[in-house]
Amino acid sequence: MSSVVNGVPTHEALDVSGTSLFRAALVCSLPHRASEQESFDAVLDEFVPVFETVPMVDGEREGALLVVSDDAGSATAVRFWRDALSTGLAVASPAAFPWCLVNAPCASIAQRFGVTGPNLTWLVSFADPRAAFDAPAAWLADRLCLQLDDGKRFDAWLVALHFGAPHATAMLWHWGRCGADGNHDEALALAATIRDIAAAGWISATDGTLRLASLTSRER
Amino acid sequence: MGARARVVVTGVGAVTPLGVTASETWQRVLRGDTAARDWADLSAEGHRVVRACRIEDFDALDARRGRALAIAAAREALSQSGRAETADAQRGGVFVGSTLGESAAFEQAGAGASIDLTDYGVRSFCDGIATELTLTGPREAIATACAAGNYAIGAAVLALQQGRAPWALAGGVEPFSKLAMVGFARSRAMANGDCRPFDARRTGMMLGEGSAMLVLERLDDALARRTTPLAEVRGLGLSSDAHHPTAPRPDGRCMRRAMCAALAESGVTPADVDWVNVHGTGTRASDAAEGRALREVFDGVPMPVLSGSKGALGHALGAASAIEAVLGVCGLLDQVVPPTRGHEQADPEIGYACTRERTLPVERPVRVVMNNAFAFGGINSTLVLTRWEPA
Repeated sequence: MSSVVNGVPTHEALDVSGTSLFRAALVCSLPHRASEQESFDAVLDEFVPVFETVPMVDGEREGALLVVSDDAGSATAVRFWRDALSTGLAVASPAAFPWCLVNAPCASIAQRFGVTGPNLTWLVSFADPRAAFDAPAAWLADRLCLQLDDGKRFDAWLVALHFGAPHATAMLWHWGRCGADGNHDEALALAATIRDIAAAGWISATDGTLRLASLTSRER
Repeated sequence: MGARARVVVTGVGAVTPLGVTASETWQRVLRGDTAARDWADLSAEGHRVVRACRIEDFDALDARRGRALAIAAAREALSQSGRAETADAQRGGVFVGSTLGESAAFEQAGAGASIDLTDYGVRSFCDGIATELTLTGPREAIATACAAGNYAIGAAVLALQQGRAPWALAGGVEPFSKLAMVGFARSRAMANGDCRPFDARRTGMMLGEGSAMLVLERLDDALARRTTPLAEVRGLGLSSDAHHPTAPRPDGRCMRRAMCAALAESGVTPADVDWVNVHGTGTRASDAAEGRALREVFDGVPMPVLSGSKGALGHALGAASAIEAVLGVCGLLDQVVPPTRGHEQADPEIGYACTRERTLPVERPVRVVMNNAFAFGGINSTLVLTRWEPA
């Protein structure tokens, strides 16, 4: 099936060797809440259909989680310290402390959806969206092209997050592939494709042209 | 599966509470020293916990302390590697892991200062190193909390294998964080006294700070420029507990999974492992889970020598596993496993003791070291380093 997400060609561009799959993309506005944690928790339900395409086995969902953000944890850290100074350091509430860490959203997704594979978070700048997705795209392409044994399947979810103004946004992609021998050139091409699709989707989402969209391109 | 280039370490640098170079740190860790002490400024400010390991006599602006630490470690590693004199010296990549970035900047903002925080996060460390050393290669700022150093090394290895850079600086940095002191203390994670990794009487962690950097390059490139590698980076295993925001999964099964993945990627078996640098924060839960994971990984084979550094250096959060990777390289070079400061009495629940003395190889050389690092959010990492042995 030929599909378009956010105006970006998906399935055709990714079908490098006839076995690549682009399963889904989802964009959510992060609602204004008292904290990053509350804001993020409010959209996790939207992610359910994208994760549920991979079944849980013994309470675990195999796959990797990759998160890029330019500001996760920043507002919480400032607020945590402000509150600690206000209440006194020795009696400060620790509740918000885990969300001072950039990787808190990734951990939250892993726990909610039972994803027990690799769990990576990069702090990036979205000023250059293609550069922002370089690292996760390279990581993904390596897994999808060079580290898959024949017959094995690999799933990964890539999440982009921006909590601040003007467009607090979460974008989620699901990439999956069933194993086939790949090569170095294929990995490089796939990395560029993933990067460009993610960057274009992110630009579209944060430009305000799309607020909620979901798509499944084809069944495995 | 595609062939992958071998990647080696050709330089190391570290700034820690026990020394402003990797060599000084290593010698003091070998002696069994600790940097732990009580700090008057923390007491005066009203912190609940005032014992920590901090770097003294290191001049830097509070809000640029992390950048300065990272640059100092990077300069040392670069100098040892000789990479600054090569034709592609400027094309090096920078891969840095950290937990909180320049914590002091966030603390100043919380106290009311007007600061543009976009220049004080984890990315600022990459940018600082790249600008200072005029490097134009790829930069990755990796924010995987207390396991970030291992992740950064793995990211650099991948970039080298993919040909995205001819060489790379990789490691971690964490300036001392009062925010973390409060957060961990109020989460009841801090030790009542010193940090005691894997000890029966352990009561928690002790905060540290520091930076460590490694110069990594493809083996063929290192040999072509007639450089003797210090060690080889063989593999990185990753997993997630998917269990709790701060507490580890008690059964340690995902820690075990990370260790097994690292061994598989490295092409070594549990019986090949000579030394495990344990994560060993000294908390009841984390050490117990790591002990269970180790018991399962090494079921049926002799337990390797276990050591941990956080009783000596404190827990440097995002820098910790990079510092410990440097200690691993030093141990492989000197053929000795350092003592575990703070470990005195084995915990029956864990079932294994860490070495209390420096341990020399008996029946075979120290060839394979596993570097465990786990973190808030339930993320688990194991890095495998091996001794450099020419064919």
